[in-house]
Amino acid sequence: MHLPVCLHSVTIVSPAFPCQLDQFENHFARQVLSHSFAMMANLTSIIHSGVPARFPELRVVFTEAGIAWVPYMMWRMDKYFHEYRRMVPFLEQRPSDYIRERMWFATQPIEEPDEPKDLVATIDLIGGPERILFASDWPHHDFDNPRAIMKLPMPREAKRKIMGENALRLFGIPAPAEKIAVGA
Amino acid sequence: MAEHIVGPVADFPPGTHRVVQVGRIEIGIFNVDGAFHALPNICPHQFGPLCEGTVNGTTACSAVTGWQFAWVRQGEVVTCPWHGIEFDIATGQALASPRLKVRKYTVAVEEGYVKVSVG
Repeated sequence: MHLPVCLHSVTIVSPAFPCQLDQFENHFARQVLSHSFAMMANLTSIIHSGVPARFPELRVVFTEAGIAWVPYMMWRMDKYFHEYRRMVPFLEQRPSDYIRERMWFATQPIEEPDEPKDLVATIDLIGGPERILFASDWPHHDFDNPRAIMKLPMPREAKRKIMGENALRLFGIPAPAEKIAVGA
Repeated sequence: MAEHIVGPVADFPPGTHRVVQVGRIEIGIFNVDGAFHALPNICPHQFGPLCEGTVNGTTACSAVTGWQFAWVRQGEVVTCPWHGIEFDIATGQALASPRLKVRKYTVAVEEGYVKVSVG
């Protein structure tokens, strides 16, 4: 089996992990923080315990937290890796290097900046379209329509990767034959 | 390339390091078990006084150590006093990043004096 490990953020909007969400007055605040904070904690846990060094074949997918938190965590972990490398000497490269090579991120709930090109730039910071998997989260309240990705200013090849080709390869699913219309 | 005498070799016993001023440049002179190394006293990270930091070893943890923490390379690593970034004295390379590296100056012992070349 060479399937990736897929991390889902929270089965309910957790009151406890990784921060005390009970302190917030309403679901706006809990929704904003819960999923992305949980994924930041999961990513940090994986890196700080040396999982990528111990299990170099392991691939990890982070789901249901969007993607814009990832560059922040890459930069933040690299910064503290500079300072605290002695605590995590099993890491043979920077945390961001492991992320760009071994980890994938599912889109939903996709961030919606005023300028769609800013989201394309964010994807490039994570390592490019190869790292991104479309997810709908249908039928949850904050589901994403596939067109949310298709309208981004990216090459068709990049969209094909995000919308399916990355997942086919990651999960070992044979790619279906492409239908090509010929003639009238 | 100008060569400068920075002091008698007796001032730099093995296992010690000093910062010397050469013209307008501060240089750290390290004696690692009899091998001399010279690095600029400025960290490429945020320009801290790198060579005023402590010289020590570092941790290792890998299949080689049985995934147990080990203390290795004693005396071969200088740590910037500002943000704790470790540099390999022999190469000037930061241990945590391929993007952080300091140059090395040529340093030699001749006729009982330590000489460093700047330029």
